[in-house]
Amino acid sequence: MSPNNHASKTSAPLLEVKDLHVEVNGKEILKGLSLTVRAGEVHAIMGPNGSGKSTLAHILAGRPGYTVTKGSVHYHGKDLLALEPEERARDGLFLAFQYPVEIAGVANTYFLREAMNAIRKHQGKEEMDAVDFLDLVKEKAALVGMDERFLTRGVNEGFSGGEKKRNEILQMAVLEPRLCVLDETDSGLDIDALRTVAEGVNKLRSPERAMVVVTHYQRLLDHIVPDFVHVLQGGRIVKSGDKRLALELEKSGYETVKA
Amino acid sequence: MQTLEPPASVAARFAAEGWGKKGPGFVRDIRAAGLDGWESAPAKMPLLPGAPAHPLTEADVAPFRLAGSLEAVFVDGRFNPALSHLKGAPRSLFTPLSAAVEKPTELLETHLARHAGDEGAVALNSAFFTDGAVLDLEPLLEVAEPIHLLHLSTGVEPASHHLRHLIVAGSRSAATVVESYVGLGAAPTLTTAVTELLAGDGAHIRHATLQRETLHGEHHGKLALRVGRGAVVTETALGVGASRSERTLDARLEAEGAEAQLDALLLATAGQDMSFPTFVDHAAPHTTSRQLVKAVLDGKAHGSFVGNVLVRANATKTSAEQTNRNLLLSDGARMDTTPQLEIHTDDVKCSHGSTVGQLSADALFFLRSRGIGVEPAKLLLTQAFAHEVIERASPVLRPTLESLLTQWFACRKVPGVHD
Ligand SMILES: Nc1ncnc2c1ncn2[C@@H]1O[C@H](COP(=O)(O)OP(=O)(O)OP(=O)(O)O)[C@@H](O)[C@H]1O
Ligand SMILES: [Mg+2]
Repeated sequence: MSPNNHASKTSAPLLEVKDLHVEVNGKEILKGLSLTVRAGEVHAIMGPNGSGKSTLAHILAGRPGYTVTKGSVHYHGKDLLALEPEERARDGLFLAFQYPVEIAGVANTYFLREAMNAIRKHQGKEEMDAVDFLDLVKEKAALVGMDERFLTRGVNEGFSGGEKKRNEILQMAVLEPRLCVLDETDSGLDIDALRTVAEGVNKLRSPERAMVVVTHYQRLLDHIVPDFVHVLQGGRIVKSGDKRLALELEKSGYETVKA
Repeated sequence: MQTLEPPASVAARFAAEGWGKKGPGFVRDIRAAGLDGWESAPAKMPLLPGAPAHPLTEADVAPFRLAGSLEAVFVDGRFNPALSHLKGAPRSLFTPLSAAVEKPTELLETHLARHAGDEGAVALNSAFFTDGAVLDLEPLLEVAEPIHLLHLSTGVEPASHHLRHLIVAGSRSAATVVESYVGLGAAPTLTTAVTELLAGDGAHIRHATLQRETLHGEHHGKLALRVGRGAVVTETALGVGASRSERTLDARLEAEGAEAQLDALLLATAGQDMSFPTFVDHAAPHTTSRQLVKAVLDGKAHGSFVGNVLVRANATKTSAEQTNRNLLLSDGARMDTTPQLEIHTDDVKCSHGSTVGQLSADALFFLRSRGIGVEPAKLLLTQAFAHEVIERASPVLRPTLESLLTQWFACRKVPGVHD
């Protein structure tokens, strides 16, 4: 699949992060991060451990516990930071977690239908009944190569690391968000799983949808070819380029990156 | 809520209303012993006057029925044949206690009030019981339909109601018995309910208790289980109502291979006080008990679980398991949990554990990040917490338990409902 380079540079950004400063427990993690993402684009974010990639992902999704001390985030023109996490999700924002939680006793499909219907309700659409939903979820499970027996189990209950990651992508495929943030979805996936999951993600690529893909490895970007690659270091984007930047990093590491 | 009535006035009422002269000799003895027990009881509760039963219509009762069951309906402490559905019940399975004491059988004389003790609420119940169910399961009898003993307090005027059930399960009989305690009106009520359940050799009894009084009501009850050789008794207990409630489970595993299982779900909010003491007495070798008590507390609710397990010296090869899990949905809710194990032999497998926690912030955020609102997300997690108890309940009860949990959750912060 070829990257979509035709996203109009003149269209209003889907996501616009400006000079974002974020603290956790009084410690500044993001120190003036700026990022602009337009519909149709795929952005890869790379960077050393602890540089603030997950913090950025969490801030976008609205996780409690972070303090924004400066800067702004706009999502198709709206002040994203003013919205509750569920409002962001209903408005098409999706985060595939680096560490998905296990919720014993909440069946995977049951929860996913609740989520789907909350979003449909927000969109003024009719709720989907259990039978129709099951058909849909089975189709999407096949798309991401997930065995049907995982559908009735508790959310991530007893799933292996890779199975949890697949489950995140299943949720994404079902909920069809507008902005997908994938936080190290490739970690924990075996080579075949990586390919299936990447194919699943590629099928979701569209001119209306944008993706922000956090990863440490070039191999994911062989499958999901990005339009832009950014290096996040010390709480800031220190370098941006096209897909060749990822190859460069793979060879020489972050040490050589100059702001 | 109400002021305590001094023992003297209880005795005066007992005399004035002629309770000491009601029924045959052995029943009078039971009542007199009850009065004595009550007078020496350390904890007192308000005794509201007895009152006549108020009429109820089918529409009043319908929401509380258990579909497909043999149903004995009691209103304000009295059996109501018109509202009951007992057609097709095996002959002599059910007799209202009020009728049974008029023509006492050997079974009644042998077992009534012989097993539940005479302490606190039980004593009060012994002194003043008006009615209840006598269930006589003949040996080998298997009752296919669940048997539902449904009590409704009309709450039209302040009143106390005292129900006494006796369930005698003959050897290798099998049945499902559900007791419901429902409150309807806005007047203060006090309900005491005492059940003696005797499971003969090889009997298999599934029992359940649904305590769903109004918050104007108090409920005090006891389930005394006596489990015979190779018999299995399971109890599913749900507590959701009453301003103050205490239901005791007292199980004695009397012969080899006896087994008792308890799964309880307590749901309390506002200023509710809910207490659930258990006593499990392993009095024979090769006996098994398992207890799972889960409480969900919100508002300023207070819950208490005291779990006593006694393993006697002769009760070798015994297995006793006790688990208490508590979920606090507010900062003001409080849970006290006390396991008390007394073990007199080394040849046992015993375990106990208890936890008190809140909803996982990570799980809550995850669900919200998928578009699910805060309250629905909390409900999902609360359902997950309660899942184990509901899953183990008899299939006929599961829909009721699920909807009671959902209703409780939805109403738990509604002013007026739980204030
Ligand atoms: N709750 C917290 N309290 C204190 N420090 C925190 C907290 N959460 C994150 N941090 C710190 O913030 C920094 C950035 O963390 P973050 O998870 O965003 O890194 P990352 O770039 O995603 O790293 P990785 O590649 O290892 O996933 C780290 O130094 C981390 O220890
Ligand atoms: Mg990370």
